Amino acid sequence: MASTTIKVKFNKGAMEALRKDPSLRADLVKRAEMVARKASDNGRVEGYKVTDLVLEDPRGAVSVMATGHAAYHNRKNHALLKALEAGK
Amino acid sequence: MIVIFPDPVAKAISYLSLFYDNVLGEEPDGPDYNPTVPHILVGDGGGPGVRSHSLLDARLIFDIRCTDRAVASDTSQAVAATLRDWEFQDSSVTLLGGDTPKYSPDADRRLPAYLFTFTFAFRGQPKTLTEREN
Repeated sequence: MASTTIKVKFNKGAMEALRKDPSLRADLVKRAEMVARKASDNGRVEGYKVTDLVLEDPRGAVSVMATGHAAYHNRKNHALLKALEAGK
Repeated sequence: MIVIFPDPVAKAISYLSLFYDNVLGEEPDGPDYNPTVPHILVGDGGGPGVRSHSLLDARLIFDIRCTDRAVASDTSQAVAATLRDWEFQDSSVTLLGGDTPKYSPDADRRLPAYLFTFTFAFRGQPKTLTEREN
């Protein structure tokens, strides 16, 4: 049987575009908000902030930060770590 | 027949206490708190939860503190290695993943501390359920 060579060429530009796709970013924001909601005990603890990192390159990224009182709350309770699964 | 899951934190404390002193489930508090010998704090870190009828996946947080940073560092590495060995000592425990100890000093007291997490699967124990008598 004759061997067949298959060449795969990745389109780097398309991959970067995919990683920054608005629907993908919206999905990330939604997941981050679920993590923040869980970490903040449904908003009862103030200071868990969701930020869309629009300048992150070459990918879309969203952060959940514990600021102000939330920083203390997170340090004492590991709330962000415990809330990770809420974003799945 | 029902399956009872163990308390992951209590089980980890019980295991580590076989080899180390001062394995605690709660953060000691008060102005006099000054761990001159290593303190090993075990905490609930959430995790995926119940995977099946017989398996519970749980993330545990380990916080090793000591006023001597070098002692805290050495102890944290030893504790992490002991936890990696756990599944070979107890067939009801399976290591799913973890990280390495990172320096993370207690912000309030400026105490040297090393923090890391491990995720384990815990197999539950079957138990026969009997109806209570009326």
